[in-house]
Amino acid sequence: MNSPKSNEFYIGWKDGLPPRTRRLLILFITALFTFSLGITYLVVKNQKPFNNHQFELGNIQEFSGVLVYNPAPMLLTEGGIPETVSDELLLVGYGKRGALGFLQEIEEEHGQLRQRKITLRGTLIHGDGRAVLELTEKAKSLVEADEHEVFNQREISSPQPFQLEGEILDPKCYFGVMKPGEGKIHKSCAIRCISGGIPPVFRSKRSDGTFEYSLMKDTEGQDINQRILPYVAENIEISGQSQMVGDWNVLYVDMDKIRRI
Amino acid sequence: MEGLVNICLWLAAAYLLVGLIFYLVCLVRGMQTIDPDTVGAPVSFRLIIAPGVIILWPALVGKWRTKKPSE
Amino acid sequence: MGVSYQAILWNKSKKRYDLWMSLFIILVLAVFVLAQMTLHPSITIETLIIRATAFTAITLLHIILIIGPLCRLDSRFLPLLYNRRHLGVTMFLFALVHGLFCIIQFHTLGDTNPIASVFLSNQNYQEISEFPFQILGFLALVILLLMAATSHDFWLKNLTPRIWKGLHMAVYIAYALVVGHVALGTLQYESKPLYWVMLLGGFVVIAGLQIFTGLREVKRLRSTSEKTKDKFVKVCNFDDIEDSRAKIVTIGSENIAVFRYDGQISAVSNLCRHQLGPLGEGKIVDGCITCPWHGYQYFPHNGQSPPPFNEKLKTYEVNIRGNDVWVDPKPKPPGTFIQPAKLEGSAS
Repeated sequence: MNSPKSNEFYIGWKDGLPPRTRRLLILFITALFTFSLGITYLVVKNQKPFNNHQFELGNIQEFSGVLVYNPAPMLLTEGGIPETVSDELLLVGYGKRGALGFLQEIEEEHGQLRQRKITLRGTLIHGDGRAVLELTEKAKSLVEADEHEVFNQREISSPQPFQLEGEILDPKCYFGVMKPGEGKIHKSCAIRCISGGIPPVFRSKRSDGTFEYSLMKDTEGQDINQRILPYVAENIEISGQSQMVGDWNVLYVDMDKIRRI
Repeated sequence: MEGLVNICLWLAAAYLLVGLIFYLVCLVRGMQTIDPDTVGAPVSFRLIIAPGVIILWPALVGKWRTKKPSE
Repeated sequence: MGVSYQAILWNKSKKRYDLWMSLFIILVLAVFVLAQMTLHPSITIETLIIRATAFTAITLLHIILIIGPLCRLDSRFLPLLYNRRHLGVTMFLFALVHGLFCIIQFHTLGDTNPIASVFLSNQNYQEISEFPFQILGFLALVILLLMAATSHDFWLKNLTPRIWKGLHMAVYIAYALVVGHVALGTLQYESKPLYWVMLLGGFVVIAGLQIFTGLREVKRLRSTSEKTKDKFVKVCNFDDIEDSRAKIVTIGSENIAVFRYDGQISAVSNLCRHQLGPLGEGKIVDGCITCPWHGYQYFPHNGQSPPPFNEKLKTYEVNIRGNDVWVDPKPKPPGTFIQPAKLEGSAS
């Protein structure tokens, strides 16, 4: 009738396991352990692989070059960084902050630095042909500054219309700080970073399967960070005018024509 | 949206702060009124119920007020 | 209870339980970490912690959720239920580390309060694939926090078993939120369909077991009474009940366990005062009704726990006419002595 399947009765505080209970539990626990460990392995095995971008955490290095603010804060170096990446160092701040605020603090103390040859300390982030320098020591990142202005020798191409499909990334996380630094699981972080002033980068796929990375501005050449937050890390189509400034392609995005795919 | 979220967070923080104060008061006096079985309980017990008291203090405030004798 | 509280009332079974639990967690973590280091050596330590704790927590949650129905399927699984609260608190701690690391990693050092940022960064509620999945995880964590914080028996008593039980049934809401959190989060990033198979497989097993055992329960609990005489309701034949065991009957809204022992019959409430466990599936041990879940005990004739404990059950009047057992479904106040009904001609 109502009797439980087994006539054994286990009282936790009183005695050990009755024999049939023990046998069933040994079987169950063995199966559970085997199954769970198998699943564990499969979960890791089938994970999307990470990129090989690097964040040289703990290794503060000095880099010298000419400071420019357009299209984003950069240090135009003359080498001293890994050969596979561009020597135009994109500058970002500590944490989820752009470099601009810290550079302004430095300028308040040391005078204007634009177009000057300066030496900055920071942590290098690099991968897929691009390099980013984190101003880890914030407003104390300046090592020295030359007094004379230097003529900016970057090549600038004439603007051309473009239409691209891809994803808006924050370059700090994507080029090395986080694995992964893209897609849905990283979305809120990318929003936080771009909202904090890190220059947004648009990643689109070339026909040969490699990625192209471009900086983003609006059609007036103004920063676009706050206006594109709703589209960050989503698959979108954008259009407008584009132009090469030194090693970086710059997209002047028509805000009205951003389209989710 | 931002205003709403911030207000909610402030309210939650205030609520938990009241809970923390209530818990500290309970440690000194009041716990035995709420539940006589807590008399003579070790410090580890007081610690283990701390998060619950801080979060669910209204449930215990009621008990304290009514001074319901233990069943 | 009636004796003063301890942080944890250790006994041999609980220690053995925790030992196996720790072994399980250590092995899962070891395989997870070693596999990551070997197959994905460029993983960062933060990502490793976030993923390892998430995986451990969700694995433990699945185990926790199948223990209940397994016990209803076969009472030999009951030792798994005995110390399930330690499994629950441990699962919460892993979920907490996961949540904290995600908030630190994805939301701190920015231009917004990190907790506010969980709700404000992604606000795309219109598209399912872009839905802010972190909010689901956050809400699940709040529920698990409430449950873990109230897992001590102090709360069982002071919130009353009914409210406590209701609060802890919220684990199903937490589970639903976790499924949503995974489906709209990491599964929108990962490309292998295997992950969908795992998530849905887990759901099918848990929901299937729950529904299957739930239906069986409903069938069993269906009102069994046929005849009524005076205020008494005929519930079964004396021989239908095994010695030292009970028959559970539902009459109206009363859930009653009718025990047979020493040739006599007593009836008490079927709900254990501890966690509302099914006393009628218990057994008379050393003269006491013993709950199958955590071994709480009561005298069958008055529903009282043996001293120093002071829990009391509702009792019911019983009598035996011929070979039939009759119960008055009107409960007496908890702890009321009721003369056990003796089978006529019984020696004891």
